[in-house]
Amino acid sequence: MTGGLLIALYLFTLAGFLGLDVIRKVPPTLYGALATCMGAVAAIAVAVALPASGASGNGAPAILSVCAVAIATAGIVGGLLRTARALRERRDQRR
Amino acid sequence: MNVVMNVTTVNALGNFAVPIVYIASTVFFVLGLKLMCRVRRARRGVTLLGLGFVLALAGLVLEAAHLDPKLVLAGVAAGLVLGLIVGLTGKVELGAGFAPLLAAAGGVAAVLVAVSAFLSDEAWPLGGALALEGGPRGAALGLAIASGLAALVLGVLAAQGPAARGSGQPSVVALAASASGLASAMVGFALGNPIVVTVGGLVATAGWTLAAIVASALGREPLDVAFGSGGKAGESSARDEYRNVKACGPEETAMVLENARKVVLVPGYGMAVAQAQHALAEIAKMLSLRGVKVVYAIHPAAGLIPGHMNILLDEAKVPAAQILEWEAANAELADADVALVVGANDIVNPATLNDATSAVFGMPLIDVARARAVFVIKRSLRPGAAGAKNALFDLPQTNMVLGDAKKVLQAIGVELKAQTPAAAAA
Repeated sequence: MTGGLLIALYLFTLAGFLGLDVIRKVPPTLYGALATCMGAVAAIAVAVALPASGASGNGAPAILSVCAVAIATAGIVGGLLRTARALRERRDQRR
Repeated sequence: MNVVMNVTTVNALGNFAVPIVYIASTVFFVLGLKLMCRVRRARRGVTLLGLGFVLALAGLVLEAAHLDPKLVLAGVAAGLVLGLIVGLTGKVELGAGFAPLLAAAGGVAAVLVAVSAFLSDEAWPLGGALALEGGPRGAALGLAIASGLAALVLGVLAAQGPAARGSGQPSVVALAASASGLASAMVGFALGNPIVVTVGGLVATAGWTLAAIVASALGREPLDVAFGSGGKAGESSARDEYRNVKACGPEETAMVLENARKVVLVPGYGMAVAQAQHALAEIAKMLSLRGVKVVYAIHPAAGLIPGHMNILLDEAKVPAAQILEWEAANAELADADVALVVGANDIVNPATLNDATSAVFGMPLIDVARARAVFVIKRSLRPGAAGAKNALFDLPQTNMVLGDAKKVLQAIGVELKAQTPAAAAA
């Protein structure tokens, strides 16, 4: 189990450095779109909320997990859709 | 015995399938974010990010087949409806209304998961028996709650705070995303989900980096943009005088240029300083090859001495037929799609026409505002030799491409070349 935690720590560290590098040069017109879709990606917590919501049975933990799933899903769907809409709008304006 | 065997086989399969799906999903997230940094690829980037989530969901389904589907579906359905409403209704602008709060969704979800984990498990470190496992996990859950709440605060600040609707807003949204990512990574850490750790950690630093990029474009620090009221006190930079300045990069400039029918190039003193005439002539040549009509507009007072621009353009072997004096150029500008101003300021200042108090009033004007789109390549928003503010920079059709004229033009040239392999070879 400790091994699992250590591997997770490795992953976290390396992913962190990857994140520093993925974003290098960003054209100013994309600032808003990139920030919004990053918000959507940050809602990846849904991947732990979802199993938790199905496993914790009843009571407060279950309700909290279901709420977490709902909020994270809304963040993902809403964030990506808004980004896509804004990008489409911009393309149409250019034409 | 048989049953046990079957279960192990399924588990073994699952043991491979789930990590592979998760890894593929992570790859989509990284590539998606990478594409989002390019104007031409951004839409594909969003698609990849969406696929990343679809794959992550597939992994969850594989992994969690034994779960009670009612609660799971209730949560997903509610989120889907809410997400569709927020995503498809309201204004298109990304900063409008409460849309910036979406970036806090991951953080809030992480807080709820962490609280739920604390509540549901009696074996939590409160007992102390599991110090080795429980210690780090409890700490991770605590951090998740702290950074998730920070994400919520930043999301509210992005929607309603000092930076709301301003040019600094994306910086605050990115900070909220960064905090959400950190919170997600922490619950992933505590509950043992590698994809959440990886993707959360990725967004945690990527969000911070983006926040810093946006803030530094404004000459400020990310936290100062989120919480501060305005620019630094006592700093009366030229930037403060402008309200609606839009900045853009070489890539977008190239995209607009290549779709134009007529382009008017307006060189100024800045082109001479940067020795950018060759790069400019190169772009003009590529555009001509694409069938774009290109002319140069020469202002009598552009540069250090009369004829300065003509000498430089001649040096860059620009055909004389393309070079127009200011009055002829103004006639061309009336139906031009793009005016590209290279290192000029006072000679394109509309105050020469309409502001009797301005130092440049009464001078000849190359009236670039007549063109459908204006791109101004300039090192900064500082005033030109006459010391006058230039209202052109504030116009809705004007885009500032800040940077060294030669470097910017070369970057535009690279973009144009990439889009026209045949023309570049010719």
